[in-house]
Amino acid sequence: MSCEDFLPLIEKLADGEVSAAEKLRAEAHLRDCRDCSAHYRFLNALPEAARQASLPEPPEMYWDVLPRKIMSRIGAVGAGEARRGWFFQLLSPSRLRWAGALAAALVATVVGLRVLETPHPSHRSLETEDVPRAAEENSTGEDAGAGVLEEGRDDKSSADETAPTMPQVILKTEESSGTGLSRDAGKEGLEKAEAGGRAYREDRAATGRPTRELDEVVPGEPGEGEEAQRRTLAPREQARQRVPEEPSEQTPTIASAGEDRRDQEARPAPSAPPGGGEMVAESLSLRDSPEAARSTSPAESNYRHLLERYPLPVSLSDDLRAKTQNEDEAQPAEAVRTECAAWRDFVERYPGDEHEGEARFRLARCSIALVGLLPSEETRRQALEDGSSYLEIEPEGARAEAIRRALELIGR
Amino acid sequence: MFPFGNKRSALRVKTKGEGLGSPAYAADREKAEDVDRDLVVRARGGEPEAFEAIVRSHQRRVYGVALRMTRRHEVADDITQETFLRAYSHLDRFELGRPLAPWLTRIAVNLAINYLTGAARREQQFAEGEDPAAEPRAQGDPDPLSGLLSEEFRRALDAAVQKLPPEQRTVFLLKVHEEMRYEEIAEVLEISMGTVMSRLFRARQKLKEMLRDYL
Repeated sequence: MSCEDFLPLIEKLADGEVSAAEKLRAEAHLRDCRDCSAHYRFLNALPEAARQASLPEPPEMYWDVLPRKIMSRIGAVGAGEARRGWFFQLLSPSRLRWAGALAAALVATVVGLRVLETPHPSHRSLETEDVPRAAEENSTGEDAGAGVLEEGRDDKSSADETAPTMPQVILKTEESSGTGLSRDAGKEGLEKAEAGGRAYREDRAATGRPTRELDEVVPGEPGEGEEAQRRTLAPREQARQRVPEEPSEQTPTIASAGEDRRDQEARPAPSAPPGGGEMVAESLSLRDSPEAARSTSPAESNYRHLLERYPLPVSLSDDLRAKTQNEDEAQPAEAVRTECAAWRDFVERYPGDEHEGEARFRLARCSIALVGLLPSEETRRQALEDGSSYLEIEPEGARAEAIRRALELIGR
Repeated sequence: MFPFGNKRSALRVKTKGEGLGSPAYAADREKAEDVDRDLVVRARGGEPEAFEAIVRSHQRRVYGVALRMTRRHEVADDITQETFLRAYSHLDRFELGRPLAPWLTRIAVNLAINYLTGAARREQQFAEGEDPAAEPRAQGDPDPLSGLLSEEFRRALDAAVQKLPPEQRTVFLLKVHEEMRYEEIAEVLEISMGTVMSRLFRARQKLKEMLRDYL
């Protein structure tokens, strides 16, 4: 075997990854070969020399600040729960489950009693957004109410948490149809879906009519034609119209500022849909829930969205000329410009938001990068303004120092 | 500028002799993994304090990897933050049976590679004209190997490492600084062990070539 053949083995020996047999072979060769022996010494000396190479280390304080920064960025989720106090603590999954169960029992009892008090089943109509659909799906009418129940649970994995925004179920008596009082079953929520489903089953059993019939024809009810049809055939449509879209679709303005080109550009796409409230929702076990997304503030949603879209800000370099060498993206200037626009939009839209400092920092970096790409007087002026606006918010720290230095370069 | 200290190797998690193969290190690691597992479970359950504890426990390692790869505090700072943000948002995907540190390292390394790939051209430009490896070794040094431990050599090595392609640099740094085994590097980078070995081999060959004046 030649020395070249032994090289991989010598590498493995230096790395301590050889078997006993390999070790014997390698060592035997090293004893006889001066070149390989010198190479082996080089390999052994390399790690030690590399480790001894001085590496600037941040001060101890940094290790205390960094977790806070990270938790602050996670902010609205983790730290938020503690910071925002009792109200959000009440929204913890375990508490909500207990509250939901209690409320369900209470409402079921009340509604059940009221249903029993109703004069005659045939004079009572039942209007709900979900029951008709359940009934339509089950032409035999079997378990229509149960369908509602299940639907409530399926829609939200933690239905008890989303109780306040579940489909509303309204029981109507004869009076409610125009001749008397209208009786709302109470608050929105799963409890009502459950109660409604139960009442619906009772009602159907009492009348002996199939579900569809009950829903489509309500004797004595005014507006029987068009109104009844609207009520019975399109409740889901109505519900859909009432339910706001996911935050990702709620935030077109800021999103659109950076959306157009970035999706196809070199920067990595968000690993998850850019639902602004995703992280918040996740922590509250409300993922994929519109209700959960709705519970996140627009500012938080947009902030999360932008962080997802621009995971690593344009690098701030001491040498701004280097920015012009960025060829990773077909039109880097345009991409950076859209990012700047997105952060600027956020800053202007949510003044005083808890993420304002971070947003202004990102804006400042983008803006400074843009100067390297478009070294016009206008971009320079804008970068100085954006950078200054960040420094007004966060005058201390490494980031501020870096921005300050970059602005000095621009200002020269 | 950031008031950096000048301590050496303080970012290292392990010291020589505490390699992954040693029983003491293995026991410590097992204990640490148990603690991590508990923290992950609590963090998933909505305890922000648990995640903060994870950050505090792993921040030096993550930052150290990022800094060694990028050589810039600002970038390492960004990468560290981003690593934990991503870890947080994907905590549900983490397999509890596996150690947390390699998972975090993988995120950080990938972010750093993304950065380096984008900045490779720029860094290459920066490196031009300041090639300590090209500087002749001090004359009259009788023992070539003594040069390996000289301050000058260390500076040259540092500069030479920065000139390695990002993939090779990553493998080299994980091997040298994190003292990872081939298998662990392969897992972190999601490449085969053969690729790890070949990258490491090429990295060392290049370093040897760049540092030939010191040998």
